[in-house]
Amino acid sequence: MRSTAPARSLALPLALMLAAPIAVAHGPTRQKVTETIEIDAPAAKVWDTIKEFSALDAWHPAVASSEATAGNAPGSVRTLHLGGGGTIVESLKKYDGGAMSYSYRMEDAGPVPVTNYTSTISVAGKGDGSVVTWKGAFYRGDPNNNPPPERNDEAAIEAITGIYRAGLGNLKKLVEGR
Amino acid sequence: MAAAALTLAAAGGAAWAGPWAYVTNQGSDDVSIVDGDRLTETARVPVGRSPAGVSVSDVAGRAYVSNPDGPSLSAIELASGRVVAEVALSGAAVGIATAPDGSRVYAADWYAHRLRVFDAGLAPVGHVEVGRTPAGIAISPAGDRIYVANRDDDDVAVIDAHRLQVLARIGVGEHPFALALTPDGHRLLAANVFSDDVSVIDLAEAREIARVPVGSAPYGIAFDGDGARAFVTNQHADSLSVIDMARLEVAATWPTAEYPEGVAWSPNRVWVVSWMEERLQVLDDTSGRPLGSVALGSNPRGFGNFLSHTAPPPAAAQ
Repeated sequence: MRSTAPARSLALPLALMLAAPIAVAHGPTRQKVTETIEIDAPAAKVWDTIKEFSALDAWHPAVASSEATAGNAPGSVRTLHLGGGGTIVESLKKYDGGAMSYSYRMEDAGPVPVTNYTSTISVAGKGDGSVVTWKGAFYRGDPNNNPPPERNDEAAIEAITGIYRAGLGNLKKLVEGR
Repeated sequence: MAAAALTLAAAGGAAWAGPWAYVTNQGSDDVSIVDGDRLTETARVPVGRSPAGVSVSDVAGRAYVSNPDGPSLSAIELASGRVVAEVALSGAAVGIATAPDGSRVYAADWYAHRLRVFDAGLAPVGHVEVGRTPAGIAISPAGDRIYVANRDDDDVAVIDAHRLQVLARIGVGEHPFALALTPDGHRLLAANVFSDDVSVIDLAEAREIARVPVGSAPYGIAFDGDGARAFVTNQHADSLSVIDMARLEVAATWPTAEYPEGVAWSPNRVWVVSWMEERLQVLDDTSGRPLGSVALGSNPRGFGNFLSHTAPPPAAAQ
């Protein structure tokens, strides 16, 4: 997997950030993105790196700092301050340390051109190594008919794909120590 | 048909042909036709863009499909497995339903806030204004009443099918999407996606009489044959709630594949479309035990009545 730059997706102009709707209405076509990466390290070690819901800043290169209201308890709300500017707010829906998995929902997408976004990240063993799977389900940023290109289905898929690839690529580097 | 169903009940599910499932694959712009007896996909039929809603009518001999990104509607002939009609829409529809006698097709226009009416060949015959962002549709057994979930108004419109007039609007929970009517036509259920519950409407009283808590983001509803149980897919909980319709409470919750959406019932079986895992799951209808599954196209929805009892010809089973 190539680690494509997420900066283009995240560092959107301020005007667009301000225009990001907090409304929950959405268009009719839900999209999804699934990205996986194999890591040459035991699953437990990988999970150790990503298991804190509050600490996306520990491994995602686009997140400058992050904090959460209630750690890994469902309902905990984390705020992600992006290096490129803007803030994302997400709430934890499910957390299963035994299964090495957690699920969350975006409450405020900030500069990311999506609405109604939900996601699950999980780690599983594979041979001597592990595989991390990051899945998201979402609608495009503009719920209306004929959305502008920067808020259509393709833009939403590109943004989420960029976020996942950048994060997983960096996670692999961190854990493998390269 | 009744005789076949009884045979299945007696035989415990063995040696019963069908049903056939028509599942809309929103990401691959086609419909999977699945042989429910052999649990294989027999055909993949290209339709319009991003098909979501489906309404199979054995009486009309058609599976009607809504394509919200077309925007258009398509009609697949059950006997041939081919698209025999298509109509462009000015807005976009997700919810679609067919009159019990097969003479009318109803599509809920998401952007134009109206219910559009077509004949069996998809020629437009009229429309009626409803609430905001109409989604799921249910029709009375006699075909004289149509019910539409106004998703962004948190209510259900009751429509006179002959005069095309809204007779009443009944408040439900937050963000109602799917609707389902008991087989006797007395009670209407609405799946409230944001309030994580199911509204039970008594139609004689024209009001909500109960709100049954289910799992997170309920998205589809199906009744069993006598209406004793309702099966509700909980999209964000990866589960199916079984509502006891006498007690109006959840009697069981069964795990499903991820992001369950469309749901249907046939004797002894519950059919669940998994949007995330892109497969049609078959569960035992009393235990919830998984009996098998069939791979589908991309991002399958199956929103609506997707089961048919009409055998496609061998030509469709390539």
